[in-house]
Amino acid sequence: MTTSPPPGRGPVSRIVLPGPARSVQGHRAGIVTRATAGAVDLVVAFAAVGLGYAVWSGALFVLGPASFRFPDPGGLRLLVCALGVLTAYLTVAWATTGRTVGNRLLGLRVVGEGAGGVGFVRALLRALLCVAFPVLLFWVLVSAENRSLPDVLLRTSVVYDWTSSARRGAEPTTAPAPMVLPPDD
Amino acid sequence: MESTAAHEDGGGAVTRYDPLTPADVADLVLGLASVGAEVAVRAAERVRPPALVTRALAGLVTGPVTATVSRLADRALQADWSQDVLRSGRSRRRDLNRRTLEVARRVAAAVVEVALDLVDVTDVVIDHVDLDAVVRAVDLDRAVERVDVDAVVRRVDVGAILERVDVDEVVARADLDRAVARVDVGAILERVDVDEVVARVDVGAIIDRVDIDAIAARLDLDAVVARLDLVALAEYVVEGIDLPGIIQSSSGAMASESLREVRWQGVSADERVAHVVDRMLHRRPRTPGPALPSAEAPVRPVIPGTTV
Repeated sequence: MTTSPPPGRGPVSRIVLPGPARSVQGHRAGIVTRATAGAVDLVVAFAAVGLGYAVWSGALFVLGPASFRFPDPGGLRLLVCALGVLTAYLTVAWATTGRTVGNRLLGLRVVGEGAGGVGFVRALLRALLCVAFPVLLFWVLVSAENRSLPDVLLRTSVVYDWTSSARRGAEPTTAPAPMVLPPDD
Repeated sequence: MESTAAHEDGGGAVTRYDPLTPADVADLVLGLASVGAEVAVRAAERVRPPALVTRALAGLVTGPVTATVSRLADRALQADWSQDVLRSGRSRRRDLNRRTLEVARRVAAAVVEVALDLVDVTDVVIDHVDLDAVVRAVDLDRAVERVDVDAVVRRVDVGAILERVDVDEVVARADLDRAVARVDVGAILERVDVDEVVARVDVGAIIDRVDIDAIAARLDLDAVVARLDLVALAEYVVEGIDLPGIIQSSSGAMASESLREVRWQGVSADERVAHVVDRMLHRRPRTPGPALPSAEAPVRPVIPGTTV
């Protein structure tokens, strides 16, 4: 059995990615990309909730056009609903491919240490922690290893992986090549 | 035949003889004939009777003499003079045998000489002798065993023979193909220690003398490629390089230039923020790479505009 290469270190990155981009693959990501990815995911969750609200309203209009009024679930309910959708969405995404839409946009991937993926339970716990206490993410700022508190508690990592391989990687165990970042223009 | 035993019988010694054999009778007759011939010669020298008388005497005497001789032989043998006659006849017989043999040898030599002139013995042998049967009857193995080959070889001057041999002509006349066809190359190869042979070969010197370029120019690469299972090879390569992942990564929105730029900017921002925080905390730059054992020196990312 061949072990899968670390995320972003396989043949796909060697062939697809340009040289400088290859040097950052597999490194743990910093706070900017991770926060941006989280914001994107939050937007996605709210968009999903809004879409659900629109579908619900459309269904009510079709069923009773005469007595149609926009439903008013209340702000708290909408927020709880949005956070619930976000939790479910993060859990499913991290447990399957290890990346949400925000991760995909920023080129990130959530990996477990050792062999392979995060697993459903860890993904659920991580999603609950991230949604309930988003401030824990900012431990990345002071962590010497770019790990948030959920990462430390659940022994996970978020690494750069610009490839779109469906194969879930594992936390890298070998030292990646030095990063070469693009010069400032 | 002669006296063989003496027996004490009464007062005097009596000598007894063995019975007469035909050879003794012949010796006796010859002896008597010789005596008679001598007497007759002497008588004839003195008296020459007329021819008629001698013939009549011969006719009258021959028959009775024969009978009388056989009847009186035993008795006559006992007398001393008979032994003399017997010895005389025996010596005469031996003399006759010797002369007869001599004459026979001369006659036989002459006859054979003449016969050989008349007859071609080789043809006779070929026509009438079953040589195959003769050869079959000969035990050649036994004959060969009795030959001292070593002695024969010692007496052979091989050098002189070789000087007289025209090796080129011999080789030209030899059917080498047939000889080679009878050689069991497999058995020879089994006896060859290839490792030892190879160990004695200076492969480097051979390779130096080989024109690899010329060999490569003579290669029929098309034939080589035709024998390759390119489909299987392609499948093997695709399996090794994760071609679906490559296609997915290199096509669509994920591979767009703007997305890469966004990712690059994100990575740069990460590094800058981390750098600022590390300076604020007065600690050495972080190693956001994989969690490594302390023994392994982590590799620091290279940030543009900074000296490592």
